[in-house]
Formats: sequence, structure tokens, C-alpha cells
Amino acid sequence: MRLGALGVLLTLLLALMPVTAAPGDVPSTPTAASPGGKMKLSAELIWGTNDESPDSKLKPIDPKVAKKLENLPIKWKHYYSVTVKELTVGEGKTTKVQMSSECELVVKNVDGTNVEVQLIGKGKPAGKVTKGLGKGKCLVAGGDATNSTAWFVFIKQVE
Amino acid sequence: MKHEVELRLQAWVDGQLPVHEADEVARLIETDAEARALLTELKHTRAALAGHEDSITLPESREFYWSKIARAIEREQPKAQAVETSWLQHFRRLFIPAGALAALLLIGMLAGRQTASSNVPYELSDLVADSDTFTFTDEANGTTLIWFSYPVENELAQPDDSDIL
Repeated sequence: MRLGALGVLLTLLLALMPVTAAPGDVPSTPTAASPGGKMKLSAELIWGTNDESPDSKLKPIDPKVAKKLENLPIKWKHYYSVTVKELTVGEGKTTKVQMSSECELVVKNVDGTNVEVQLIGKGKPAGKVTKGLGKGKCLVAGGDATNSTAWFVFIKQVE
Repeated sequence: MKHEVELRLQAWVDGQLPVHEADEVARLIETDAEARALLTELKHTRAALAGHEDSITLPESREFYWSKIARAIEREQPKAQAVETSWLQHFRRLFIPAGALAALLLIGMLAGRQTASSNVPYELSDLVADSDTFTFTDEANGTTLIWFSYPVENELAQPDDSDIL
């Protein structure tokens, strides 16, 4: 009887609580939509390190991208481009992109302006983010790697 | 004269006193003039009322008449209890399932949230950031940084001697 009363009370409280955004909610910020709702995106896997790259095949990232990273509260001396992939995603569609042998991106065009990006490392989900990618906006997802280095996925909409 | 004595005199006139008390009252009447005067008044009053009292004749004996009243009262009492029990049971019948359903819904909602959040270590939007995740927005450059506390041993972009690209 008391459990039932508690259940009713808690349910009523939850029902009366104002609706808050939950993880995975799609942002409602209006941005310019592409014709047909398709989004042409660029995804770049970047490696950040304080040392010189031991691999000469790794190229420094584009200066424009480097400038954007410099304005973020991340302070690695060198950023190397590991992979750059371009992808076109129709509205409501999902595309999977292999960025490295261990890194995969699952990108969903939510509504022509917002994208849901899921990062997968070694086959396991590392994180998911939903973000509006309008003109001039970009998303940088990152995390720690070994030996005080870091990985980044730089995503922007291509004109 | 005390009121108690007056009441005893009234009872004596009505013949309702036990024998030993009736003897005491009789002695009092013999010795107390005031008691005698009250007795005379009570007897006159009784005689006056007796002449105007309606005589009601019952078709049955007194015992049977009162037993009928007693049975009627007993019948009414269980009815009242039955109505109360029925209402309480009705309330429980509705309230307990509703409460259980509400509890199940609550558990389902909480479990759903936990399940949704356990699919991936971090799931973010522009509005919500996981406590283990750092977010930063550079409005001037339109850049949003999401920093995942991804386990170091599972690094994504760590170059490896054999396979970098």
C-alpha cells in the first residue's frame, strides 16, 4: 500500500516536472539547411602531440584548422592529419566512415542542419554528440591518447 | 432536603427501591415531616399523570417486542460495516494496481534512461554535457570542442609503426 502510494507520488512528480533536454536530444538552434536536406561533410582525424612526429608520412594539419584548434583550451604543440574523409549524408540518413584502423565515425544527418556523430574506437562506442553544423561552424571531438598525446575528429560542413 | 433524598422518595413511590432501601425511606417518612410533605405531593402528581396516560396495548409480549427492536438494530449494524468494508476494498482494488503500475512506469523510465546512457560512454547535445565530458564553444570561430574521457589504452589516433593510415 505504501509502495503504491510512493509510486503514484513519484510518477506524479515526474509528470509535473518541466521537460529538460536529455542526452541525445536534437538541438533546436536554427541553421541554414542545404537544398534537399543533404549535408556534405568533411571529417578529419587529427593526432596532437608535443613531440615531432616519428612518422614522416604524417602531415601537419591545414593552418586554418590549426588556428581554430589554437583558440580552444587544448595546447599541443603539433597537430598531424591522420585521415581526411568527405561524406554526403541525406536527411535522416546515416553513414559510417572508417577514419583509421581503430577509429570509425557513424554520422547521421538528423534534419538537414543537425548531425549526430558517434565515435567508435576498436569497435566500441566512445561517445556520441548531436550538433548543429551550419555555415562556418565545426565540431571537434577529442580525447586523451597514450604518451600525453591526443586524438581529435574535426568535422565541418563543406560548401 | 437533599436532591438525592428526593430521588429516593420518587423511586420509593414508583416501587423501584430494593427492600432494605425501601425500609430506610419508610423510616424517614415516619420521622421527617418534610419528607412526608414531598411524598404526598409526589403521590398526587403520580395520580394526576396516571389519569391522562395513553394506554398502549402491544399485540405481543413485552420481551418479544423488545427482542424485535434488538434484532432490527443488529441487522442495521452489519449493513453499515459491510458498506464501509466494501468502500475500503473498492479503494484498495483501484489504488494498489494504480500504485503498482506507477511504480513499474517509474522503474521503466529510470531503467530506460540508464539503458540509453549505457549504450555509449558519452552522449551529448548542445544543451547537455556529461559530467565526465568537457565542452567548450568558441563562438567567434564557431568551433565546439567535446572532450571525451576516453580510455587511453583504447586510443583512436595513436600512430602505430605498422599501420597509421
